[in-house]
Parts: sequence; C-alpha cells; structure tokens
Amino acid sequence: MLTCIYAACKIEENHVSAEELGKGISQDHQMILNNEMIVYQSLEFDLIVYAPYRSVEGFINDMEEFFNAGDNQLEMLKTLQETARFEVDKMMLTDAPLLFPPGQLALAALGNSNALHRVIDFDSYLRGIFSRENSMHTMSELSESLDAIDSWVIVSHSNVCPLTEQMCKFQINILYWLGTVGYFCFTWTTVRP
Amino acid sequence: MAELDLSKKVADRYLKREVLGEGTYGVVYKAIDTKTGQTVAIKKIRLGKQKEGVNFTALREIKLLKELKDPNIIELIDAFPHKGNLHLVFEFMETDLEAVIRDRNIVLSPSDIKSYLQMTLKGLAICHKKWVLHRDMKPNNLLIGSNGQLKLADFGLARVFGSPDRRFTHQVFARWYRAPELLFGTKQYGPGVDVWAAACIFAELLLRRPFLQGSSDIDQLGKIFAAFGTPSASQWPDMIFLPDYVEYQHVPAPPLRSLFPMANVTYDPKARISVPQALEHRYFSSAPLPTDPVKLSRPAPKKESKVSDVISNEGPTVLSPPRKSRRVMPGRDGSEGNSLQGDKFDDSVVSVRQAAGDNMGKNEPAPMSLDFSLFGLKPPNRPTITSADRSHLKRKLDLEF
Repeated sequence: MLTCIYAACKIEENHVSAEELGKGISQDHQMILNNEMIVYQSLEFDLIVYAPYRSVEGFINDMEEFFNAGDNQLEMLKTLQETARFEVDKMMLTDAPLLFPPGQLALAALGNSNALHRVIDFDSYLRGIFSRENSMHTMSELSESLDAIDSWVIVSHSNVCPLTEQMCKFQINILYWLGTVGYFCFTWTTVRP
Repeated sequence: MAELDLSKKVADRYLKREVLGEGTYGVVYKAIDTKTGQTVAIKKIRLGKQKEGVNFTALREIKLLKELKDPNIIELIDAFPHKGNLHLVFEFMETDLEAVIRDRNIVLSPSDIKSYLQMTLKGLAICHKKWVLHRDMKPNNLLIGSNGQLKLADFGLARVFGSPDRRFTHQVFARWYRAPELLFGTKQYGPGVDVWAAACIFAELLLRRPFLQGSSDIDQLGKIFAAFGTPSASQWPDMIFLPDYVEYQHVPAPPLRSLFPMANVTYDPKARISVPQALEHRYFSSAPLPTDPVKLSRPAPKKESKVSDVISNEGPTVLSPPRKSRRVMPGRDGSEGNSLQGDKFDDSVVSVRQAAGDNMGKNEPAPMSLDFSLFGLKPPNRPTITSADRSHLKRKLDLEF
C-alpha cells in the first residue's frame, strides 16, 4: 500500500521521499523501496494515468471563446469549473477513468456542474463541438458515454467510506493505483507470512 | 522460483552480445530478440545503489516512450527487472548524428542536411503534439538506423508540459543547445526550448562543428548575442523579468537570409517558430529536396582503432582549408573554390549560404563561435550536463520536478 503511494507520487512528478512517507506512518522506508519494482512490473510499466482535470480547464477556456463570455459570465464559468473539479474528484474514486477518455470525463463533470448552476446552454455547446470538429462520432454516442460515466459515479459514490475520502486530500491519482493493483496487493499480502 | 523464471526470460528471449557503451546510470549492450529475430539494444539500469529506489530518468523514459510511437522516435520494445537491475529494450540503431557530423569522410550535401533536419523536426512534432518536451536535444541523442531513419532518443529529461502553473527546472539541455530563456533562469517554458536546440543542430550540420560553444552560462549567452545581436526590448519585451537576467553590451545583429529557417528562431519564446510551422517552411519544399533516408551516407562501424584514426585525421583537416572545401562542397566549380582557399571565414559562411540555396557571393561576418578555427585549435570537448549542473539537477528533482 505504501509503495503504491510512493510510486504514484514519483510517477506524477510530485516526489515524496520514502523516508518522509515512512515517518508519516511509522514504517521502515526500506520496505517501501524494496517493493517498488514489483508495483511497476505488475502494471506492465504502463505508468501514465490521464486525469480529466486539465481537460476541464481546457473546456472552460474553450467555452469562454465559444460564448464570447463577458465579465459576469466569466465569474459564472469559474464557479462552473470549481464544481466540475469536485465532480472529477468523485469520478476518480470509480472505474470510470479506466474506461473513458479524459475529454469525455471532463464533459460529464461539466454537464453535472452546469445542471446545478445553469451557467450555459450545455446542449448547444456540445452541438457546437460536433459542428466545429467534423467528428466521426455522433451526438447520441457521446450522450451515452456521459450517461454511463454518471452511472459509475452514482453507484460508487454511495459506497464511499470515510477513510477513502481522507486519502483524496493527499493525492487523488494514488487511488487509481490502488484500484489498478488492488488485486495484486491483496494476493501479495496473503502470500506474505 | 521467481528469480529462476526471470533468468529464463533473458535466456529464452534475449541473446546477449557486445557492450555498446556506458552512460550515467548503466551499460548499454547489443542483443538478439529470439522472439522476433530483431537486433535490439538493452540499457541495464542499476537499482540497488539508488537511495530513492528506481531512478527518475528510467521511469520517465518508460512512461513517455510508451506514449510516443513514430518512425522518428526510438521504440521501447520491452522493460523488465532481471538480476536486481532494470532492463530497457530498444530497437538497435547503428549510429548517431554526432558521428555523422564528425566523420570527415562523409560529404553532407544540402539535400542530406535538409533530410536530417526534417526527420528531427518530424520526431519533435510528435513529441510536442503529445505534450512532451524532450529537453535534451543534441546530435548524439539523434540516432540513425540501418535504413537511414533518424530517431529521437534518450527521454530521460523529457516531461509533459501544458499546465499553466507548473514550474520546471531550467537546468536542462547540454549548454551549447540551451535556449536563452533557460540561460536566464526561467522555470516556465514550452516547446520553444526544443526548437532552439533543433536550430543549433541545424547550424551544426551546416558548419560541421558545434555552433555556439559557450564555456559557462554567461559565455553561452555572450556567444548567442554575438551571433544574433543583443536582443532589444522590442524584440524580447519580457527578457528583463527573467530570474537570472543580466544586461549585456549591445551588439548589432549580422544579416541573415530570410530563406534561412533559423532566421525564424527568435529570442522571444512566444514569437519563436513552432515545429509544425518549421516543417511547412519553404526550405523543405524548395530545391534541392531532402535526400531519401536510405541514400544518406553513414559512418564506418565504430571500433577502438578507428577512433584514433579519426582524431589524427581531424587535425590536418582543420589546418588545410582547401582540402576541407573540396570535401564539404563537391558541387563547386574550380575557380570559385580557388578564390576561397586562404579564408576560413568565407569558407564557413559560403558553406552556410550554399546549403541554404543562396548563390550570392557576398561576404558576411562569421559568428564569434568560429574564432577557434581561425587559430587552428581543436574544438573543446562536447559538454553534457556538467557535474555541477547535475548536482543542481538532483537537488531540483526533490523540489521542483
């Protein structure tokens, strides 16, 4: 578990030394280091996880241009962005980020945020994207993906426990790693005497 | 049992051959992939000695090369631990661009230079499209395969860019290829730093020697300004706000032809040409067209005895301009060649103009970086990131990377 946290911080270029981690949780840091290679190998060295946070930011910038936003609307878009980030936080606890590309996750988050704040005409924005980008896909396909993402969040959110919420504050992407290697860690823990 | 399996994996798949070289973190050796019959290069990275586990450069290389697949970027075929070390398996590449530039037996025609630059920029375009900065562009990181394809390699300093508030270290690139904004200490930068380095490589292909050979950061900036003129406030408005900015004595810019793509490599990173724009420049679509990669000349295979031969050959070449003229510019007529016999400056400048397709006979002042050739001195050893830079880099690893 600690090694996964250590490795996640390293991969995401927010390095936390093994000694600091060890101190924080009263564990020998050498044990963290000894298991690092096992974590990477079990992932088959597929180390990049794409989180939707940057995509949310990109879409907000795009909306500013698309709607020719004035000062008042810029403030509302900021509110929209803040709420969308919380939506993404919830998504990160689900399998959705392992199943959908970041752009779709971001649109799902923004859609939910907009349902709450009513900042923009979200449907017309989506139609604008399609007409602009000459997409190979259809609007209904995207809608299906967004609905599927919402389903994942609804199901998983009701099962969130306090410990998991605490860990969100530390490093959100770590949870990917925990989910991805959860089975391996469980097996490894069992094998260990 | 697990150890035995890992041991079998190497024995069952990779037949080890000779050592190709040794880098900062370990040995690179040649091997045969028995699964595909393909020749590969295996980089063995030591693990046990690292205080912080698996080292960053290896992880970064794995992470990013898994995302970058292109004919002009080296392929990471496999990665696995074995006998306490991490092994990275790459496609085997015969030589590198530095070897080509230094090999006096090779004639680089304008078409050849154009071809090498185009392949460099194509690889870089894919990196930037995927939001990856290479940050260590230099000729010996541009590898050349058996089919003549040039590929970007060594992604140990590369990383993802594009987040507005992320700060990076400015201690990247070997000094001769470092952009002026990095030398002034900026920590927020983008693809322009790779473009600057690519331009220096372009100049190196033309000159057959490194372009701006600074011996320190201050000296590097001095040589840049001597070559392009000291930037004015209108050219680079934000220059004075950079962390390590110091004022330099004003030097006017020597004239550069607009046809020369480097003319678009501006001081201001925001105004600097991008890689896609550079690839669309008329330089690549005007005659002579780039040479087909298969037809590019390659150095003889590297051997220890050859190294001393090359060194001994290099001296006379520097001291014998007419000989170099004939080798570098085979297309010139005899009378024009004769007129330039005694003048090294004109020799280099003509080389530049010839490559750019410019036939004007006008003489232009040569950049200060060519001073050493005037006295027949051997060029200084090519720097990597120096030990001082590296210790700084290590500290930065914990703080800002």
